[in-house]
Amino acid sequence: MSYTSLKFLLFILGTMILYYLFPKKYRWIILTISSTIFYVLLSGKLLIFAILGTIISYISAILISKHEKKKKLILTISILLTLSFLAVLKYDNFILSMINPIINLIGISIPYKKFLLPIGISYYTLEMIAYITDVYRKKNEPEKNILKLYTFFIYFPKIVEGPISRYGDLSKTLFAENKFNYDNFRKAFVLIGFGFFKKLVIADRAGIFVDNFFSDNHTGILTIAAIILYTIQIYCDFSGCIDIVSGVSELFGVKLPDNFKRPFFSTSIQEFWRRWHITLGTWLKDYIFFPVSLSKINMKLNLKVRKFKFKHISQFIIIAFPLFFVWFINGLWHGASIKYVVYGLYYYVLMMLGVLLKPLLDKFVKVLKINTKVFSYKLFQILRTNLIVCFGMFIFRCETLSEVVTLTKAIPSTSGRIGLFKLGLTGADFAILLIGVLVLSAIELSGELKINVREKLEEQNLLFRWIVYLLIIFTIIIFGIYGKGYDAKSFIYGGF
Amino acid sequence: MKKNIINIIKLICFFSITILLTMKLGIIFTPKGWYDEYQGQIYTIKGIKEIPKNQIDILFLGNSSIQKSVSPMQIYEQTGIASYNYSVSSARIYMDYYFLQNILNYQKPKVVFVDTPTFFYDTKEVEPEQRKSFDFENLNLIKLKMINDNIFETTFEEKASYVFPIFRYHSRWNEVKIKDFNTSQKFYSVTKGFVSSSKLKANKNGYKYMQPNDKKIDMQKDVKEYFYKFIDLCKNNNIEVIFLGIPDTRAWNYESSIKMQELAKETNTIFLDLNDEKKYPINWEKDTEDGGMHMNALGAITITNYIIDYLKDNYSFPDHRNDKLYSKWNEDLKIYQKQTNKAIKEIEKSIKKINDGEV
Repeated sequence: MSYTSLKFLLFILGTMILYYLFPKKYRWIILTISSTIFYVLLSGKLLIFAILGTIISYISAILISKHEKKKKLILTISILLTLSFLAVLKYDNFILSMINPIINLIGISIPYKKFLLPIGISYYTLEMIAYITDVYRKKNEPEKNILKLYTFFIYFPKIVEGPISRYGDLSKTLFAENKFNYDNFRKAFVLIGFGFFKKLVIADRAGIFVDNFFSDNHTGILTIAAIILYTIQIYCDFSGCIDIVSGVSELFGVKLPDNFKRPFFSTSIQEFWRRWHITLGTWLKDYIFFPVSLSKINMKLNLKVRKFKFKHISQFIIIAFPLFFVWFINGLWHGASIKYVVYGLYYYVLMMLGVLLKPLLDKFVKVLKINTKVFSYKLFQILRTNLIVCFGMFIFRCETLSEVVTLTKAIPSTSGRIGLFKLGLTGADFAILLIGVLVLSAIELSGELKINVREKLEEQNLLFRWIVYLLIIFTIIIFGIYGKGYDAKSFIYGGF
Repeated sequence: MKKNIINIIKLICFFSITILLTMKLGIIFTPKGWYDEYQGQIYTIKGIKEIPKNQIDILFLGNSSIQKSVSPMQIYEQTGIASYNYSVSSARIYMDYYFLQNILNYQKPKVVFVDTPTFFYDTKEVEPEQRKSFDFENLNLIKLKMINDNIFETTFEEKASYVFPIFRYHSRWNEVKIKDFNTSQKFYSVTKGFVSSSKLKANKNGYKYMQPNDKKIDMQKDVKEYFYKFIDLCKNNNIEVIFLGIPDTRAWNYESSIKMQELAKETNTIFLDLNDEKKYPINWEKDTEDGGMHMNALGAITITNYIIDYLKDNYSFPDHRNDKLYSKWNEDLKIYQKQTNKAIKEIEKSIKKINDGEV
């Protein structure tokens, strides 16, 4: 049951009717039941891992709160236990590919095995770690009702693609006595529609070209079109899904955290990652960057490098050490292969280079008397960031690193060159893509200018509003890529 | 409370408008298939609802073989018997089972002729062929029952797309023409479902497909189930069933004919096999449009004449030619005659070209 399927829409309708018919105090139980049904429909018996994870989180949190002296040990054991499911089910072959060459030296080899991956395990594992750590840090009290904790971890709107939520934040609305609010319903409806528009009209249309390009081993100048279209696809796919699930969640009065904040208006890659997959970024900051920064090793390192003559270099080393773990884990979280690790480290190297070369670049700007406050400079920074991001997405999309190298080298090649319209999209499709991207850009630009389009729309008269709603609905129905004519792609980020 | 009620009414109104527009767009986007001024599958299916209730005495059901072989207007011209050829491409007996239920809402035929070639097919009709007929059926309980029948192996999304065809045809947005927006267009069938062909391609192998042999053939399990269901439906509605073997070199053979005779005997029905060369000869040089699979206008005249003879010999249906209620049929007959003459002339031209060695 995909988030863009008719079955899902009916599932929401049914859940919503039951939710608001139930007594306010117990409404969250409907979400427990519907989330369980949703999970079982998608992953069947693999629900057991979510249940086991919930039990571990529940017990660990209570033990941590009761045993102050041993809480660090309990935290370590519980995190290792929680991570063990993910390590075995998702990273087993990756880990084995590292271990086997070593143990082969003593004549031992562990056979590779492919497990079925439970839906959302990468997301709920991070949420479980965050929950236990927050109790350890006394940011949260341990939850006494295990059913509430279970509901939080498998809450159906966020289970497939996030956003990665924090118990302390989400539980405020998830277990609140939410009342039906017509205005919220309208706003949620528009958000869901916008998500469908991004996913079905833009992402899946761009995906046709991208899939054909990569599956048929094309090369040459079309690689640039494929990279741009893939960047558009992945953004509209992922942010479209987040819009849909956030809208669905708002139908129940539950507010999910923001996961995107118009990332393609970023002037640097640091800013890009503060606006793209925000919940992963903040998770990595809170549960990787800070612990590594405050670790004994890093403290010792800090003390040593502070003695360096060049302050700039010492500052570089101080942040380079913890950030390495952040970006290594960021890459690895996306997939169990070297390619994803390189994807994470690609951003790490660029950021570190930026920090290292900053004095030089500042000098360069000063000498050439470049005005960094003007619009044209900002535009240059945005374009530069987008160029770096596009190449990052290219690494992300290629099957292997050698494919990245081969395709990049072959961009100027003219052999086997084919026309733009030979890869599944007609001129009309490109026109729709262009219009779709322009509409999306206009809405995002409004956001940058602090204009909330959703709220502005809600201020309008009924007739105008209804015309806009109908326009959204029928644009999706007519121009969306779904059904027998084309196969709607499953959400890209559902695989993580 | 009052505010809540107003909001609920607003929601109901909005979603009702959305549903209505979705259905209307479905009609606009649904491909109408091939059709000319007077004939085509869309006329066949929609046309039967345009005829006044209970005017039809005889119904023909089946696939494209019978669609192009039996002309109700020729029967009317010669006997005054009112019949309708409700045949659609790739029809199977389980489709006919539902078509007949639907037709019974409009007409009460006394005899139903069902063509037999698809009875022994081991494959189901492909989805686009199925849609060519289902999409033109009115949305009613029978249609809902049909699309929910497991025999059609439709997914949930496909079922929804039969109710809202826009979900199936939305990707045709750049093919939609101005005339598609005329959703009130009537498709009255002048030919009463018959589709005439002016093409010619001789069958060089003649009746070889009917050579006696020892092979055995049987229906697929689910086809058999609907074969009996169909007979029961007819019996329950006092309709006589006649299985009609239309000459078809692709889909018919000797063993099918033998099996069909057994089934007719078992079910106490009639099997009229027009593949019998001695009783019902076909001129394979002139009567077929595609080398023996379908009849052309000349072949249709031959086949229809055999059926007229059979009806004259075995039934005494009323002659409606002077019946005021059937005056429209007499008007239709004039158009039909013109159309048939035109088709015959074209076939004769083709024959001349062949004889002159131009082809």
